[in-house]
Amino acid sequence: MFLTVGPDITCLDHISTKQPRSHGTLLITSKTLGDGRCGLGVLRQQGSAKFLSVSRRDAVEGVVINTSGGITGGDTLRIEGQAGEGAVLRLTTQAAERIYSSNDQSSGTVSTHLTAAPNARLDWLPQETILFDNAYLRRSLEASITSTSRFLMVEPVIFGRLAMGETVRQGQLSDRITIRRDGRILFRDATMLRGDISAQLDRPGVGNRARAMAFVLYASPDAEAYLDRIRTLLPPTAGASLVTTGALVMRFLAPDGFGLRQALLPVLDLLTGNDLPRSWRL
Amino acid sequence: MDTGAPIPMRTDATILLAQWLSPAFPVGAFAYSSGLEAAVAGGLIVDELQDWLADFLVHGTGRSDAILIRASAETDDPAEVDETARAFCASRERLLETESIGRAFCLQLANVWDLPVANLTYPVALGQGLRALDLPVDLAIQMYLHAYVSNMIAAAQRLMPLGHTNGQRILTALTPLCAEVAEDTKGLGCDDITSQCFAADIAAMQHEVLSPRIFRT
Repeated sequence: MFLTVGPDITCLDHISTKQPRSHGTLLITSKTLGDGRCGLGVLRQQGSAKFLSVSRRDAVEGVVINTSGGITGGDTLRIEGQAGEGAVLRLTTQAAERIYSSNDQSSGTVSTHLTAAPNARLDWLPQETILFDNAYLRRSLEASITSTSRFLMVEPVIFGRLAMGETVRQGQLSDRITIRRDGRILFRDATMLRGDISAQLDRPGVGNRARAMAFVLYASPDAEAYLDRIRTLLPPTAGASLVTTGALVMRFLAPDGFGLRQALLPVLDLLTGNDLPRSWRL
Repeated sequence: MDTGAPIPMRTDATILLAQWLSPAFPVGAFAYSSGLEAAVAGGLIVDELQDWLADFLVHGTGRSDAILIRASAETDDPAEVDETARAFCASRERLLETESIGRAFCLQLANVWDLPVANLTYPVALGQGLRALDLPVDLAIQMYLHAYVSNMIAAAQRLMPLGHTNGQRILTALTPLCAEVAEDTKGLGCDDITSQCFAADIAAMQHEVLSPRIFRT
């Protein structure tokens, strides 16, 4: 470094602590066009949220891009996706979403709102969220579906840049999932990990030494038919259950992101009919 | 608290709670292991049992049940709290456990204490009982959690090489934690429910296809 910092000079602190906040909102809807075709209804992108569409006729498929390159304290990202009646909407992300260290312990906020109309198919397949040490993230996902919709969601999380040997010794992950079917609460999940997250993940009932995990939900009239096949695909650190009629829930634990992906891919292949977005293959 | 309902008998509150939360109370709690059976089959060892149960209390069902008991004890219409309790069940057997014990608990409240309750999940049923008979909620939560851990240790003694004395040592070590969870959940409501017991959830899911098995969950 060329800067010489004397004891009375604090400007360097100011330079490193002043991070610009980024905000992004995205609204995307799909609708049927007849003849089995499906097209974009509404697309609104603001701030750091962008949508990159993949060309196909039978579905609106695309990649949600956070142009700010990651999320830190004070950032907000709101994604709204709606699959209209009989339409198909399939969303993924460009790459792993990095949650950077927060200087003032303020949280970044990511909220996702999904709606699947009757007979619609909606897949929410973001890639991993990576929590850096000292990352603070408040995340929520709300989905409204119907008993004839097919809805698949995955939320993979990796704790620390493991390739760099990083462990999350301080930070916070607040995560909420609420699924409504025909207007009634179908399933809720809420997680709060804070402080020394790695120490908590080491505990036998919590993570049993895992550093990566995923939650998967598949709600569909045909959900039950997949249960036995999924069970044969799962490693010993994952489980699947039909929590109620037409709703499969899965949890995965893994030592790292690679192990998590290895466990997730066969299950997501099965539940998407071998039609996972390409970014999952890279 | 005046609920307008007659108190059917004058019984000391602590004794009544001891009755409701005793292993002899006919709700069948002994038949459930909350996934412990599958966790042991998957390699959980005696040395990890205390931590596993502590996780249940602090990070899992213990804490969320404590909040559900509080929320139920504060309302005359527990339908919404009960719906929340069901929605947070991360596996079919978790739901089976809280539904079955809760249904049996309601039957006793209805038949013996004449309370108009039926088919509520376990913590919600208890909360309604506390409300109707004006019983101390904080103490009830402590005793509920203590009874839960005690039941799990009894289950563990059938699943792993855990002697009676070591079982009681673990129970004694976890007793202060029951009071802590009761204290920490004061003032919390259904929107504060969280659960981080991912490994325990997975064990409960795996139990659905575990064979042979001696527990229902």
